Amino acid sequence: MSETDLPSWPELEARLVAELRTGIEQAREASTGEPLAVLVLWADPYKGWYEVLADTASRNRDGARARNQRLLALLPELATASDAWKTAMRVARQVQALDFDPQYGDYTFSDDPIHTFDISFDAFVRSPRYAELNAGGEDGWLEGHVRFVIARAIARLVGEDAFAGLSPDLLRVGYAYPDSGDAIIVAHVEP
Amino acid sequence: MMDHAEAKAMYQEYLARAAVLERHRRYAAEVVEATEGSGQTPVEPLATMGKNGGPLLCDLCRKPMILEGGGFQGVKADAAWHRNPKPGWTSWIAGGMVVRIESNGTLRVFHGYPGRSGCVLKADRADERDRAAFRERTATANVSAKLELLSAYFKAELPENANDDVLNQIYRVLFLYDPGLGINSPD
Repeated sequence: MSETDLPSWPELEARLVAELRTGIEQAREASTGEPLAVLVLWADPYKGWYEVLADTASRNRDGARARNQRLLALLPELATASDAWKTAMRVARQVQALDFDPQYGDYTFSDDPIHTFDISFDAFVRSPRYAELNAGGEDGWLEGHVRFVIARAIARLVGEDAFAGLSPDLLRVGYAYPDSGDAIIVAHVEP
Repeated sequence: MMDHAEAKAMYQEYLARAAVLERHRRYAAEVVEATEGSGQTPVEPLATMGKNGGPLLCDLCRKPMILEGGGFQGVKADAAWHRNPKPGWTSWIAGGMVVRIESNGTLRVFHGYPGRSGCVLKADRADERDRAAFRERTATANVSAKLELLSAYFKAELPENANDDVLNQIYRVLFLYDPGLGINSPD
């Protein structure tokens, strides 16, 4: 591929599916018998760095409780600025109580990720072609495209029942980008 | 009569390490000053103040900072500066950035937000582990005895160094946890 070729999304999806399968397998091997609550692909498309993280149900429950309490305590401070009303909608969404802990940095298997891999588009991102394409989005062009590719890869694995046996309870599967400390959950996998 | 051989060796080691540290400390202070500011970060130092005039790299993942916003969303600082070398240009940094002075005065640069996400989170955890291991490893070390050797040597041969200030500097360089020089360098 030359530096100005567009990335092939089907190829990326196939690679992510393969790497996630490896991650799922390694999550099974790393399991201490404790049910998992969440499995997340941490992705930094610009750096080309990916990690599979997971959290046990008990750690995640404790984390959710701590997160909800912390954010509730923060609310008076967030609401007192004179122009707080301008961002009240976004802040309200960010601080709402959740029944799981999305902060992947705290996850049981986040110090040492279950599986890591690299998929770099660095030459393309540095090219003039990328500069032309990279305008006007919420994400950058690459990050925006990769979001959907990751979601498709996860959906494909859910469809293949690839997460079976990882948890006897509800398993949340998603991804995280470096712009937020919170994971985005793409799918719930029922036991 | 004491020959002070051990103290001399310690002092020579201190001088060598202090000289290296001094260069890196000056460099760290320059980078901190060049990159400081609330909100957006100057792009030029991110792109040019690293090793051999290259980009500053994250001490954990060894990659440049990544810009956020404008037409440079997701572009690494050095590539962005190559395209737009406009003095005074500032930008948001994708995923956050931390520029910090380590306990030995040297520079650390990380992607991320402290305590929240990114490379800095991993680096801080690794640092905690390394410091704990150092404390455990050195718990029984008799540092006072070493400092007494140095004190005796100074009194006998280098009286201008026979004071608490010098001993304290040597203590900090030789006997406290050494986090290293970091990946970025003034050279």
